[in-house]
Amino acid sequence: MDSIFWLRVHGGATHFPIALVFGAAFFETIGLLSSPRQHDFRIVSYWLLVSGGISSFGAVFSGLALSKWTVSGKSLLLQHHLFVWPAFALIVGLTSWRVAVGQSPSRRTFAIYLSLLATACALLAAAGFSGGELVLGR
Amino acid sequence: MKKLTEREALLFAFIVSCICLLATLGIAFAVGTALSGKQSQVTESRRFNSETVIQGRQVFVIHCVECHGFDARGDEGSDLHNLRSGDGLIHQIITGGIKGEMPGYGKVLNEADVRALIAYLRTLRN
Repeated sequence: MDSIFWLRVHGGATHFPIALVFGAAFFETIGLLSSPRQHDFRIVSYWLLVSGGISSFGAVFSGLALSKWTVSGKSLLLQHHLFVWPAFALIVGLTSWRVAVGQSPSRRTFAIYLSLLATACALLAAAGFSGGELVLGR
Repeated sequence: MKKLTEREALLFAFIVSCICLLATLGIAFAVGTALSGKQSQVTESRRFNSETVIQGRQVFVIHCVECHGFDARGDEGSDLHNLRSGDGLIHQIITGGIKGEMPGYGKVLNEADVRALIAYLRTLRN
């Protein structure tokens, strides 16, 4: 399978974790603002995050196949990877934590979780932007 | 499943995250090392169609922009527009490099990628 195949797979696969993790952060925030339905929003966010965490493996491995299993690279590829690896570790970590702790974390840890989720979204956005520049830019 | 305390959950998440990251990097390194020694044997010549050129652009972006720049106008490396050399020489330069000037990519790129890259380079005109 050549680069074109993996380019298409990676281009498609990366959108799943991006959309799902952003969705998880969105519903978590909405849940904070809407106390009567907070529990429902948290459940939605929980499953979005779990799906995002699982789909991140597909995105990462298709990207590795596209870059011929280069984990760092040069120039824009290096920049892309500098955002991808922390984002991947953070998403897997947050998903594992959320699965382990369930639906009832304390307020303090939940605040830390939310800020880390926002950080993961920022890293994902940066990774997505640099990836787009890598493939489509100039 | 028994629910973990928050501290246990944090430790669990940290360990899972580290294992997944290290396993992914380890797999990538192992597969990359295994593939780098394997030369693709493509003997049949391939027509340069638009897909090949797009593939060539991808190869260029991943491996060549560092020195030749995004517009292939040259930076550390030379300007790649209007190349007059034949495909054979360009192929040899890509795979074998130029001593002291450019590394060879024979172990990094397979035959299809090299041909695609040449096809892309042929599209670069002033």
